[in-house]
Amino acid sequence: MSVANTDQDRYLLELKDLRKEYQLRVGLFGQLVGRASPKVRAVDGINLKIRPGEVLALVGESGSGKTTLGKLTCLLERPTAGSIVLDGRDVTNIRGRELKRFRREVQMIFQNPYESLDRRYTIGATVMEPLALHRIGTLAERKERAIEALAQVELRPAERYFDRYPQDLSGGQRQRVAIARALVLEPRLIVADEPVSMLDVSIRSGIMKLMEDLRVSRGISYLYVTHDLAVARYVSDRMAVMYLGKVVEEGPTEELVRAAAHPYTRLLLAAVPGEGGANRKRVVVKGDIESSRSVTGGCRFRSRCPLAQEVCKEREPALAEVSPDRWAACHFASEVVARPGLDPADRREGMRA
Amino acid sequence: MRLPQYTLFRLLQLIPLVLVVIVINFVLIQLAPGDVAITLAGEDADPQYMEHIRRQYGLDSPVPVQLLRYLGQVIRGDLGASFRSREPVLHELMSRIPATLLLVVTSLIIAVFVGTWLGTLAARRPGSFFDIAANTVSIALYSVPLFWLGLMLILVFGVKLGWLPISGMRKIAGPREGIGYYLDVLKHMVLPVLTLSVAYMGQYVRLARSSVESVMNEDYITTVRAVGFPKRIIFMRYALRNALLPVVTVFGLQIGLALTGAVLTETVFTWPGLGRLVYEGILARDTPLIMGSYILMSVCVAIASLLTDLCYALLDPRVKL
Amino acid sequence: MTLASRTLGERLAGFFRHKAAVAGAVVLFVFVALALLAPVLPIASPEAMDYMPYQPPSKEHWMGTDNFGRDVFARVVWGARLALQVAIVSAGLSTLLGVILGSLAGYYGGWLDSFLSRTFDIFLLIPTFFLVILVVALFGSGIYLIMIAIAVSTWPRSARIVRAEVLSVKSRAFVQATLAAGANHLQALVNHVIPNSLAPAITNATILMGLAILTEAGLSFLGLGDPNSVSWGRMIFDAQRQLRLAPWLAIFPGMAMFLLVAALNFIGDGVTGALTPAGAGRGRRVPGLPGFGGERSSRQGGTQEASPADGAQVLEEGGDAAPRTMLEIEDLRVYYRLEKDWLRAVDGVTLRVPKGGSLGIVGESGSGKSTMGLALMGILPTNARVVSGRVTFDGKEIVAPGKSDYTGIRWTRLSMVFQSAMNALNPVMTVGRQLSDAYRLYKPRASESEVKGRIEELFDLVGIPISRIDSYPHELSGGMRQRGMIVFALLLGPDLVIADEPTTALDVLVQDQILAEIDELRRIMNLSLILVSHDIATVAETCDRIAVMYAGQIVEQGPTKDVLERPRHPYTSAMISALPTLTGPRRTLEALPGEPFAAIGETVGCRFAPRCRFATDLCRTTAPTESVGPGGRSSLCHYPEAVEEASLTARVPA
Repeated sequence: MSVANTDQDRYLLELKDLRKEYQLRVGLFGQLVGRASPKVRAVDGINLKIRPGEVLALVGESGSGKTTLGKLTCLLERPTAGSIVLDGRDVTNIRGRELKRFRREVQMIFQNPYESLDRRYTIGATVMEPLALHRIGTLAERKERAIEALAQVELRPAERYFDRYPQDLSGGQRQRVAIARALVLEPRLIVADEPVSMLDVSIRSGIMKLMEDLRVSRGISYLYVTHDLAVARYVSDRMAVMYLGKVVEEGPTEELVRAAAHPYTRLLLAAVPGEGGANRKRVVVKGDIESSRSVTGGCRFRSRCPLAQEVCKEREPALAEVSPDRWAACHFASEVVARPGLDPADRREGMRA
Repeated sequence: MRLPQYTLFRLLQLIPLVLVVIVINFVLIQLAPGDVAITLAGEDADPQYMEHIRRQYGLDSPVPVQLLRYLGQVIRGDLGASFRSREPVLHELMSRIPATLLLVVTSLIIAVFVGTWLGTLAARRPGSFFDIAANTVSIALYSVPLFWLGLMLILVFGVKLGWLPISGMRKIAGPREGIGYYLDVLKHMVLPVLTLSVAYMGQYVRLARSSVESVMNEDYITTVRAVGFPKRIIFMRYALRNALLPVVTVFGLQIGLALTGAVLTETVFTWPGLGRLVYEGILARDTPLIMGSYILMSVCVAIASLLTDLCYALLDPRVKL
Repeated sequence: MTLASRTLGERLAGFFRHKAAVAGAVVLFVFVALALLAPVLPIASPEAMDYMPYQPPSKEHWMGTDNFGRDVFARVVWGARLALQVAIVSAGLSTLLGVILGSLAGYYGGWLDSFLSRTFDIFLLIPTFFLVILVVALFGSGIYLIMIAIAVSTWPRSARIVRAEVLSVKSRAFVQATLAAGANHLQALVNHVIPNSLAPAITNATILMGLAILTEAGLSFLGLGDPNSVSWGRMIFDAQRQLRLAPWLAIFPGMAMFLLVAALNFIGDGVTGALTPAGAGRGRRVPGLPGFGGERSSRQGGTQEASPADGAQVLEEGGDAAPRTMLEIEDLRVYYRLEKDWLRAVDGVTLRVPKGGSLGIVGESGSGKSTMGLALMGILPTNARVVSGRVTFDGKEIVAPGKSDYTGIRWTRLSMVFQSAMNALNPVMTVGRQLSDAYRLYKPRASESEVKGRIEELFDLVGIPISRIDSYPHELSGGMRQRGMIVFALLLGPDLVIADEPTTALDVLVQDQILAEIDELRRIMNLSLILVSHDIATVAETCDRIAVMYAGQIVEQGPTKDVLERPRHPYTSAMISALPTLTGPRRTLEALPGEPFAAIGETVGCRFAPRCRFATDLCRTTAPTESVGPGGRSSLCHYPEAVEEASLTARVPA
């Protein structure tokens, strides 16, 4: 995957310089006193591309903006600036019928299986709803397609699940229903927002495998949002790491995991507890993501970065190509990437020099 | 946001709101069928006299002019004079406020303390007979028609048993000052206060109970249980303060509405309070009195609500003004 | 198999459990029947002045006659017609207006919402009863005007209730999901948001009905009611004059009103009870079990449930005398009382923790790990019971059926670190105050400086800036709060700490920091640690022994490294193979069929059998007994060696 596919320059999805700002509401009083309304830049200039059939993992901690980016991608929120291009068409500001058409191509799976299904609707009604909204087929045809979708997500016998309610199902089963609902419109891209993080560990792999099988059989692309690096490694072809609204590193997953080019990525990788036992060297990083919000000028990560130098305060590093198809936003990326990476045999990480 | 600024800001907000209240009421009164002049002059008065009345009270001007004139008056602090009694409205109102306040505030305080106490007792014995009984009784209490309850109490205690007086605030021929006076008023207060507090109490019992129960289920109560604080201390020091917040809010609001709350009780017990005065004013189309009392009541509610919010902010550090 | 569904039948059952609500429904039914049938019932006409006036109640006139010689009973029945009419129309109108305006304001926000909020404020300032009096006095007292006036004066309250509910519902995932599926906002509002927001409005409607009846009666009592209708209020108004001589004239109408309004309110109460989702009440909650009110918010996912450390393991080859056992759990069984059965949350757990040892307990939902933690600290909820077994701390028995004796132990020798969700610390007290309260509980004579010194010492140790002593919990970040919980636990220098999912809700980097700090503290203070988690990797790094819990039982325990490299239970092995890794080949993950299991009532055979790929008939019929292996390992399986074999072969690189 590291060789640029020149014959397949057609990307399924492109995000160009995407920005999303939220205004925090200042009450009437504040406005009178002349208090400026603070803005939060949840997404601050993102450029990403996804090819057909590809899985891009969007990795970050809370506050990184990854969930917002997921919502922007399926137009549940509108960007403040920038554009979204689906299959060559600019869809940033579409409404009405065009928006509806868009919805057939881009779908979303949500994090909380206990909340993403309306308890008052049967499973069948929930899965049929997208078809009804788009006026596809007759009632009988919709029912058939819904049952087919339920079977595809391994809820069998599908007819029995059709008339049940979400309360009758476990978390894993509900998430499968959510996937069936997303599938029924035959989308080309699915945005999955932490689809397994609220499920029991033994259930997760089943869902991840299901998603992979669907990708292979239907050629669906995924934008997989997660905070769990191990999961990201497993599911994705490419990975993008976000910090406070910006992408700090991007590249093919295996390469990135083996030798990351950004200090933040290295720290994240090193912090993942492994099954290698107590020998892993602990990572020492200062503060938390919230403390970075108040950093002005230069690199936003510098207050926590073990490598921070003067230049980091003066200039904000741009996302630059470190090696073919490997991008990182750090002044010292080429050094970082050259350090010894994750050794498959043991878990010591080259960051702790 | 600091306290003085916030307070000022809220007080300033009062002005447009009270203005709207004034306009609404003024317009309503004007829209009503019938002619105020007739009410004032009497049905059979001759037309010349009616004209004179109209000019005297400014009723010959168009409505918007009347409204503006009135607003001008209010800003200067003049609420006009009652059509019926010719006394200044403010004076009329002030003379009756103490009676109403005495009644309502006493009842509310009793209701809050007794009700909250019973509610917390019930919450600490969930599912017990006491709990269920408390819930049932409190629902029954706020279902009782207030005036009927008053009459029933009069029937039992005043008429049949003859223990307590059944009307007025004091004996006509009784002492006018000194201990005798106070005792007399007290005796007269018993039945009306009993009626009103019963009516208020039910909701406090339920409110306190549900609030305490939800607080006791919070995670931080589990934490202090684990630490080993005795149950009493957990309740008094950790749970109670948080549980009382909703009670404070409701209480504050109701105190604000105190002036408005007692018209029925005052009628049943012939208590010389504000509610009764306003009611009679409405029947008589006594516009200045009606408007004046509405303004007064609105201002009271707004101030009470401000004080409640401030109180709440003091008690709960999570609240930012 | 679901334990949490609430079918219509169950909801009705919930309603009927509120006997008062049922009684209310019956009373209401009687009133409605009487009211509807009044014209055809064999009773006197309410206006007929045919009888002797002022008759007390008798056989011919059940409620006597009034001053005009009219039959009071008939008038009471006809009064019901008016009352019910007023109730239904006013409450209905008010609720309708409230639902429409409240949901539009709540969903779309913007100027409509601002306008509505201002209207609320204004209505709050206007004394509404007086407003109604004013309107009625000015515009006449026809019954329709009265009903409209009542509706107009009460709709802001309904609207506010609906608006609040809509605000909370509209951000829920299923609404986002329907938008993502292609619905426009109006469709989302009507199809999903409003139906899910109606519950409080319905309760409010029943209250409104009662209020409407009382208001109309009040108006009639003041002489403002519709003179052409038979109204209870009017009857009482007329009865005032004859209170002494003919008290029945006032008693019966008022009693009827009281009964009807009370019936409506009791029904409202019952409706609230039926609509409240299962698990909300204390009786039904089971910590850590989804569907039983046990969900806790965990930001980064992961299911809650701290499994208390199961057992402590005696250190094997050490050569010297085995270090003394800090905590010993012997065949502990903790069950929850459900409506018809027992939930066997902890079902026969035996473990030991030595001094200075660290034990990790791993389990998913339903495993019982949360309950174990609560049982060890002696803070089980009221619906749980220690059915058998016991827990001993340093030789002293602290837990046994019906017994909970922590004197000298609680917090001073045994303490707990909770998951630092927002509410684990009291939100209205500063952190410092809570800490010093706890300290003084056990050292009441400590001086101010001693307390402060201890707190500062610990803050320093875990890395909290001293200034934070005077902060409120909501002012601290997640990581700081968790450190605060750690300080809490270490305050009195305990010997053993139970950490219940201490890092679950935190970001990855902060998680790592906290775990490192826990590790460090353990070594400095020679603490014994029981770490409960759903995350096997966390436990693996921090603990020298591990115990895996499933459906209330310890299915495997032993030295961490051994257990994870050569598991001797299919569940352990499956859990390991189901975890994605950062290193090593990107292998296919094993998917475990079925769902985690919580045992309710009796079980037959091995609890893991339905999901186990090695399961045989023996497994399904006979529960396995504990097989003890070399190196301090034990496993609850019929075929531990086979499992160990299989896991070894799986590891051989292709």
